[in-house]
Amino acid sequence: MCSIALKNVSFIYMNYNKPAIHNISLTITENEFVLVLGRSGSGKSTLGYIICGLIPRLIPGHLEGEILIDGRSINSYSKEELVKKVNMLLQDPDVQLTYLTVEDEIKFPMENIGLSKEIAEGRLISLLSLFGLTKVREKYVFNLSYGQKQRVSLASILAIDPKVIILDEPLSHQDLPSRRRIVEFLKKIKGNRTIIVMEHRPYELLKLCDRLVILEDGKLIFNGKPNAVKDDRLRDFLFSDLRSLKLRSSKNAQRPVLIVRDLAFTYDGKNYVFSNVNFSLNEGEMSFIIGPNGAGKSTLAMVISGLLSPSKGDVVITGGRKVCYVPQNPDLVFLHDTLYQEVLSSAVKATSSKADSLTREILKAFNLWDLRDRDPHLLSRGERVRAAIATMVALKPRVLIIDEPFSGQDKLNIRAILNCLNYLRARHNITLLIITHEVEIAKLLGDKLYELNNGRLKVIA
Amino acid sequence: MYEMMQYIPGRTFLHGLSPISKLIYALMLGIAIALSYDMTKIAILFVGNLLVLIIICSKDYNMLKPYIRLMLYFSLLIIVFQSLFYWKVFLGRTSYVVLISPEALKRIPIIGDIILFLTYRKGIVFSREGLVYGLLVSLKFSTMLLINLLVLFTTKPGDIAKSLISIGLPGSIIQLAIISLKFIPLFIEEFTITYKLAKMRGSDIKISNLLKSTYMLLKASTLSLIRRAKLMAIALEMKGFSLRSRRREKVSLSKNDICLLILSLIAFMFMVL
Repeated sequence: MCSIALKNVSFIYMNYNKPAIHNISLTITENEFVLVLGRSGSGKSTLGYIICGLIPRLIPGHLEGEILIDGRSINSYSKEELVKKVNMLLQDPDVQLTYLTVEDEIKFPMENIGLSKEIAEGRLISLLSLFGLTKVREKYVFNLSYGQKQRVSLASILAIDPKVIILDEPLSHQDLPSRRRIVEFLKKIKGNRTIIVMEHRPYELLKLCDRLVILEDGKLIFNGKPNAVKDDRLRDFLFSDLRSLKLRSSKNAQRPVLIVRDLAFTYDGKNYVFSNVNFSLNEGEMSFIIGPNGAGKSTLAMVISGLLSPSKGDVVITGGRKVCYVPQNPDLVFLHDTLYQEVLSSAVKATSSKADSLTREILKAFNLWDLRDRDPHLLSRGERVRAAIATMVALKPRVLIIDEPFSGQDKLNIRAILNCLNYLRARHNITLLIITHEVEIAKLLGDKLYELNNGRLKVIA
Repeated sequence: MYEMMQYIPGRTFLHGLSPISKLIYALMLGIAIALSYDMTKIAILFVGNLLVLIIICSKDYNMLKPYIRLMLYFSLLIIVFQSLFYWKVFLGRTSYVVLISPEALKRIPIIGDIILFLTYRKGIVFSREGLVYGLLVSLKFSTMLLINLLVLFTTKPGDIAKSLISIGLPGSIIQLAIISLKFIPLFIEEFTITYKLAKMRGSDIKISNLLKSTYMLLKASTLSLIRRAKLMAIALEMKGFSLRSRRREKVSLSKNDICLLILSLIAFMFMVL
């Protein structure tokens, strides 16, 4: 059994003035399934770290209030007791996986807490079987698909058999089948242990949870049954009203600007990531490519943008100007010490005489002007994505490919990014190709929708 | 690249041995090979280890391809380099082929003094002594690679770590070393993307501007890794990493391990004496 009680808990991170969590009182009973909703920066992960005891033990700051686990203060637990009671799965499995092989990864926490070899081996076999990982037992974790990595992460947390598991945005980087698999798994373990899920996309989990908690700016604004929540409270988390952002197609939309013919790519000369890819994009269009994790969407984007050479086929750009690419990790775009220098260095290449005015225009349009003197690496995730797009836009590309701009973003950030994309179409007539898992957004806003699956690209809509 | 040094599951004699005895085997033979200049003895070790490796990889010989390719490239490079620029030039070399005569060399200003010094009197030659020395060095390199592959192919990385901890090496450092291995492919991948994106933006990545360019490129990929490392520290804590140091398994050696250790000792004596 395990119950959790937070009494008037507040927390301020070291070197920050504003509390990340402000006067929260919350009780979670044994075996309850709690969904914690909140926008990026609302304090969801911080709340998780507090319940796990990572704050203030590992993450420094000022903590106030009382945290009780099974009626005992969290401070009275030893590290070992706490790890066995409460454990947390981080959102990015690449970070969560700390060892080299699948077997070692799952055994690692069991060895750390001192389980006997026999028990550890038995638990390993049952977890490998539960998560369909038996065949990849000896494989290196960095060779696995994204979905497999996440399953290994979950298995390694469950290897400790904690009474409470906290899942930090388990659905946010996932494709549809992976989301379904995770939801199915949560259904399976619901009732056996306490589950706390932090998310900003509630659709799949609202029906499953016993209780809904909504955080806003570190404060608790709703705590109750999911059917008791008013619709306007959920509006910030549902995407249906994004349709209002859809722009009419450009007047030149019939003129093809990018033509892809029989494109194929292989890393090893034998196994093709994709082949026979044929499509074209018209000027000013906004098209989306969806597909499961590991389908090769990013590889396709890098081949089209010239970062990788195609194994077969060709990519034709009409009109001379180039294709630019914004990677999933925006940090990889930034080379300079301030955001202004970053965008200016691109603008200079596009138009040396009007580089200053172009930089100013783009930064204002992307709502980044006030951050122009900041180091782009130190901005928030939503701001970094917009800054990376702005940096590439300053090159005045004919086609811009953006890889997973909505991944891990809340609705407010998604709206801000979509506003920027609409500006690009309206003002610069840039053709956009967006790679995403967000099928709902793609269906709402895309002029064309493609799916890459099993190495083939097909038109969905 | 990620498949390199992958553990191969199996039930061979080597799979059943303690990682400690295999590490001692690799270490002793490594020292013996470094000390020995007898090409026949090294060739015997090479063939012996190659045969064992072939048995271990019998399910899929393709696994050996990248290593054989690496051995061939490296050996070719060493042999050609040593044959052309063997340093014992003043002790006399036997010329197989005179590529460029001393007279012709004097008329090629671009080669410079160092090459002229190395190729004193005889021009640029392909020498017998250099060829033999190149063969010896490449054979040493290839044999050492094979021995290490035998250990890596038959031992799980986790077991190597546990064994090192069991003989008294600091557990936290061994674990962190293994964790840091995970970052290498990630760092290379992210550095490559950053470099290509910088080229796409027309950034001034030039040899003449090497220091600044390297700083700019490294900053992006390093900061990205630091961000990940912070989260990885949280993940490690959740897995009870800090509880680990107090646990240490005992070293236990079987009869087979003792046999391997005796074999290593005999091989060592055979090579050195």
